[in-house]
Amino acid sequence: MRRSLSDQVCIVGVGETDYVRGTDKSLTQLLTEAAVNACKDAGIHPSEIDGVINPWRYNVRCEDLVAGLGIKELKFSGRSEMGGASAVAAIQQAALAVEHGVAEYVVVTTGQKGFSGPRLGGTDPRILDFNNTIMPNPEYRDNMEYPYGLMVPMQYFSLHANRWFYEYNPDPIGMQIVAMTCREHAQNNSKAYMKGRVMTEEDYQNSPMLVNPFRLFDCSLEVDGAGAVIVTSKRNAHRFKKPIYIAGIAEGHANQPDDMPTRPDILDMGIKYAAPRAFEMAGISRDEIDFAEIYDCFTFIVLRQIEEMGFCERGEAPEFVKNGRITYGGQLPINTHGGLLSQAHIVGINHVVEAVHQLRGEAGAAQVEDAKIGLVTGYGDMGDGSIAILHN
Amino acid sequence: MNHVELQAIRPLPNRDSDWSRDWNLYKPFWEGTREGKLFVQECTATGKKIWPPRFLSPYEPGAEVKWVEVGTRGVIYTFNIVHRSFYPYFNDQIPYALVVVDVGDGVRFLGNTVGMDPTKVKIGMEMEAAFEKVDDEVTLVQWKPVNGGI
Repeated sequence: MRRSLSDQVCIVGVGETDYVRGTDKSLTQLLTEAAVNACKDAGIHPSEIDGVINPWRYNVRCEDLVAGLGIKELKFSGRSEMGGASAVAAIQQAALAVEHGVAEYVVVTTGQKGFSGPRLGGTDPRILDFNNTIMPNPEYRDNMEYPYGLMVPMQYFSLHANRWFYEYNPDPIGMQIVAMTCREHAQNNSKAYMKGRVMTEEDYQNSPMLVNPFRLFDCSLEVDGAGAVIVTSKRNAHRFKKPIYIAGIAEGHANQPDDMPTRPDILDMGIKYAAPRAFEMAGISRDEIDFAEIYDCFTFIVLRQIEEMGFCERGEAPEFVKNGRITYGGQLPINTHGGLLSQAHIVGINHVVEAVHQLRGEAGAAQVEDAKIGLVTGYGDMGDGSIAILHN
Repeated sequence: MNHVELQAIRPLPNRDSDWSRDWNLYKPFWEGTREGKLFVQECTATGKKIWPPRFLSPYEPGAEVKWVEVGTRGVIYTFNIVHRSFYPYFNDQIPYALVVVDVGDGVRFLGNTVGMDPTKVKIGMEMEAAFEKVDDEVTLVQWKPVNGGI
């Protein structure tokens, strides 16, 4: 019988920086601070870390974090070229490493200076240099996209969204429900950038149309910050008070993964392939999920992931999210901390941090009652997907 | 080139953006547009069209590819309408539309619209290539509605 990774690995520490607009700190410093905070949370000394994955960013390498953590002998490092799907995909890499004893404690950290550094909603011509270091097939982008003014995620993903609306006629209110839900949830999270900044339906509807169908409030936040988690084998679980186990984990890539509009079906997404593998590994059904932290760089992609994970059919997610189903007390509370839309866009690790808080029962006002099994997703690049199913 | 000089420049096919790019995969395509023609690749083993261009066929491991002409008419597969500029050149171009036009055999090209109100773009519209000569090297491919302006 094939050996399974299920329940062999746990997350034993989580940490975050503050989420702000405006900082003098380097991204290296933010990532290191988040990692140190995760070590404090775990109760281990940072020098015990022997694996580092800062999976996806062009200007900070894994080795750049070693000195700040006081690591004397790094045994494992890794990268993941999946944009916002990289955080969860990196946890899969870390899980494989610790399960086989390649390393004992691997820190996975993501972050960005989304406000003080490269801004994806700005007008700086250096965006193309930035893109060419983080995106697949830069030669295609140079030749076939930039000359026509296609260069930022909200443009790329709107091409997917508009085809979805055309083929399946989903209710446009779904995007507003996701935006409103995340903003409401952010009011329960002390770290959330939008805590104290409530949004009415009118605010949402009056927010400017940037690239149809995306209004400003369909887009995630440009903030500065970082988060980190510590992954170890269950061999070491006895050292920690509340280890959170990885029941299932997977990454997936659409066909073809380097471009969306030219692939046979622009609605094809990596998570469609990853989700069945993760659920099978976990031996857990969709009905058993108590909450889901769903990667929300844009409102519509939350809806699409709900569909492609199999919680409902294509085009039906706007119906699925109605009537309180995705808030506390509903069937599937999502983004209990506010998500990338209303807490912070630090490339996804904050979703994992919140899932761990929930499963430890430490989520405060955002606590989902009796949370036992949580789901976290990642989405990014040209539709890559990742998924983890965690339990306490 | 400094930051200010970059601001005024239209982004054009640029082989120099990657120091290591000593090949020129798109050369046959841009040679074709200068003649008002669209070329894509074809798999020499299966005869299937390939777009975007590849170094080897994705349909038959190791099979070579050749360039073949395709038609200049197609149907809008998807689109967006851009109301905010993300690059200085486009500051006075907004709102503009990005259209993905399916010309058949699984080949889809991306471009902007010409000869119509870009905010009136719809999926399913029939479009025809409109070749925009930028300079002696570059002729971009834009798309105009077959049934006249809207």
